[in-house]
Amino acid sequence: MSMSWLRRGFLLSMLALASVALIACSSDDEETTSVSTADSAASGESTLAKVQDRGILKCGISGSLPGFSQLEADGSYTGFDADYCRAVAAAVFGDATKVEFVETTGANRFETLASGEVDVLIRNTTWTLSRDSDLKQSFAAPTFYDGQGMMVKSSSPFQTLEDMDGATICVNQGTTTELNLASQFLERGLTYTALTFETTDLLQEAFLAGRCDGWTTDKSGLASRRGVYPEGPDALRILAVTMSKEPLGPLTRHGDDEWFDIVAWVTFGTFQAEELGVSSANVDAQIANPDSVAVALMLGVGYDGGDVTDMGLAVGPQFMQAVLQQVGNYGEIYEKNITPLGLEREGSLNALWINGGLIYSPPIR
Amino acid sequence: MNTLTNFWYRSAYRRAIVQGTAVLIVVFIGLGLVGQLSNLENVQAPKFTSSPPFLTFEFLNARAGIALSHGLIFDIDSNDSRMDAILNGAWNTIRLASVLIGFASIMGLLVGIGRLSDFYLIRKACTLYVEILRNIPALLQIYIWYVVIWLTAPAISNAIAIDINFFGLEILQNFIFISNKGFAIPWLIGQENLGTWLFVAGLAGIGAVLLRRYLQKRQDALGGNQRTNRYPIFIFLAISVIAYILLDSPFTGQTPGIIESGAGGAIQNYKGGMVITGEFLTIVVALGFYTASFISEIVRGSILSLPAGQAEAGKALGLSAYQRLTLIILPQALRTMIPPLGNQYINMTKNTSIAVAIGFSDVVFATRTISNNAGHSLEIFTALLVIYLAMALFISSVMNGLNWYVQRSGI
Repeated sequence: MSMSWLRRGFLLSMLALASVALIACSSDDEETTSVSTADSAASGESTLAKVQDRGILKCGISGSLPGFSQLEADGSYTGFDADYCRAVAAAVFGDATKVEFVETTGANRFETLASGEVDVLIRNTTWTLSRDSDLKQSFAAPTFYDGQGMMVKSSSPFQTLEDMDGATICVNQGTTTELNLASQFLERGLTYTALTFETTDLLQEAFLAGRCDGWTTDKSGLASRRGVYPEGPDALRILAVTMSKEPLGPLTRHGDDEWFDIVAWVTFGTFQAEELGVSSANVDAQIANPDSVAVALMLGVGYDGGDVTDMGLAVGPQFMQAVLQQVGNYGEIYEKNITPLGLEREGSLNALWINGGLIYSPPIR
Repeated sequence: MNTLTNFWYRSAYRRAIVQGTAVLIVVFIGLGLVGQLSNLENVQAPKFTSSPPFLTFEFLNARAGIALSHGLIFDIDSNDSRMDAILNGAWNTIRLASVLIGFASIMGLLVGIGRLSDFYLIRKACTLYVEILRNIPALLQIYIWYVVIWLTAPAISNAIAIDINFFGLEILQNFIFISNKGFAIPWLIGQENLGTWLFVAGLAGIGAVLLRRYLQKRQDALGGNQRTNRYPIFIFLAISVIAYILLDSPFTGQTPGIIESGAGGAIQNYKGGMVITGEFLTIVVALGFYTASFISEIVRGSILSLPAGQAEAGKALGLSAYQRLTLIILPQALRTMIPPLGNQYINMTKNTSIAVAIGFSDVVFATRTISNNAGHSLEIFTALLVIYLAMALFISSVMNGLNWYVQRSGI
């Protein structure tokens, strides 16, 4: 008798305990959530403060794209995108080495940025409307104007896409490339079969074996793979057709305008510096004695003994000094990383606007 | 004090405490997960932007923009919706998984029996097969089959054509083509009366099964040979053939060919028949051989679990080795085989997700591409989770049903 009463009483008290715990948890919940979202953009804590607290910039890159970002034998990263990571670090810390490179894949890069695992994503990513609005990310400024191309074997008779009706095309997975390919062939009334690979190395094996008639990705990517093709670059030919607009550039999460401004204006600063003729070679002389008012404003120094103008960027008016001293201007970054791929800058969209290209910075003033 | 020790020493209380603690832990973890989820929601849709509510699937109605290949019955093109692309990918996965289950089962059965063979060479070869294949990662095996074997097949311009000749008589030219684009084999093409014919043949099939059951009962009652198989099969075939003729050929055979397109005919593709792509075949062979090495161990274990007396009794009755295997050993071994076989089938179905590595457009490919272009990764992963769960639960229910049937009646 007493035992069953005891047992019932015990179970009841367990239940009561559990419900108390539940209530406690749910009221706790608010707190834990707000603590963990402090990490995310939603809570409004600034990315800049987070980066400064951490003392190092986390920058998302590809890591296996020669010319843009590539892991070297000594563990360092080289390339165009890697240099832009360094430029942002130089602006924030005055030290271009304070970068932690995080390798991302075409498929996981946006999650990496959205979850706060990286502060900025510089992984030759194409700026599109859906990525801007649907993925909730902000593109700072295109640093490289690319376009999708088609590479075929030199021995093949193809000159245009119209020559390739019914072709099997090798594609890298998880890019806008698939979408462009589909619409280009659809608009021309051509049929094709896409063979989509996760890794470029396996794609190259299939292409070498003649499994595909064409190989498509951004022209810069094609040029960089053509350079290391096992049968030599002359075995391959890139068709003249440009299938898409691919403006590539750094991006940040929606919702932190202060951080977005820093990334955007570091990028513009490299354009402006080239336009004004300021490079890593002469930046120190220019800091001491700027050529013009525009140079003085960009470097955050006074012109002809005048005062410094602070335009209110959160990293201070002198942010471009370290960028130019340690990384260089746009032309230097391009020359060092992209020119070796065989992609001529002159006459392309990547020339300065004064030379007929699209590289243009809004005024720094 | 005494009551307190009593309290701890009573098993009923101990159980209650342990179970109560377990419930509390689960509740805590559950709440933690919910908190995490709402956290994710914040990351995906910051509060200051207007965005659709959490976990909505409307975006799946938009145009996919990508085409999927490797389809058997239908390929989708870029104008179809994202939902269609995902369903087509799922269909490719289901097709791959069903072929794989058949192939791996047969391979596994043969190798498992082979490991118990009386022949030294067969026994050792099967052991070697199992020990090598089950110890190499599946993805690596897929790469090896693809790069080392499949890609070395001739390009389609030099495709191997197989003819069928019968005593110098050329019966069928270009019956099968083999190239690195895949196999092209003859296939049946349905004509307008196919539905009617299938209906008639289906009725004939049901009739034949009923007739066989009747004859079997009669044979059990009267004894003698009532030709329980011969008559039903004859009746089924006769009705099907007559219906085929009366319905003016509801389906016809079609042999494959190669057509040229593009500049100067530089691009060649298969046309007609059925095309099995190299990628599909590579995965079937690679994953099939891989999983067969596990299945063969299940087969071997189940056979060895039977008492030796069973085989010896068969021997004493003068049954041949084949008769002993099919009449005595396998029907009994099947009872222990089915539950672990179900595990292997489910494993294999989930393993097909690595097929995307060599360009096979399965459901993982479709969902990943869509999420990369449209975001909504939480929704996409939920859809993927539901699709794989449904497939696994389906296999599991079929295997449970089979298990129930075999446990009850044997085969």
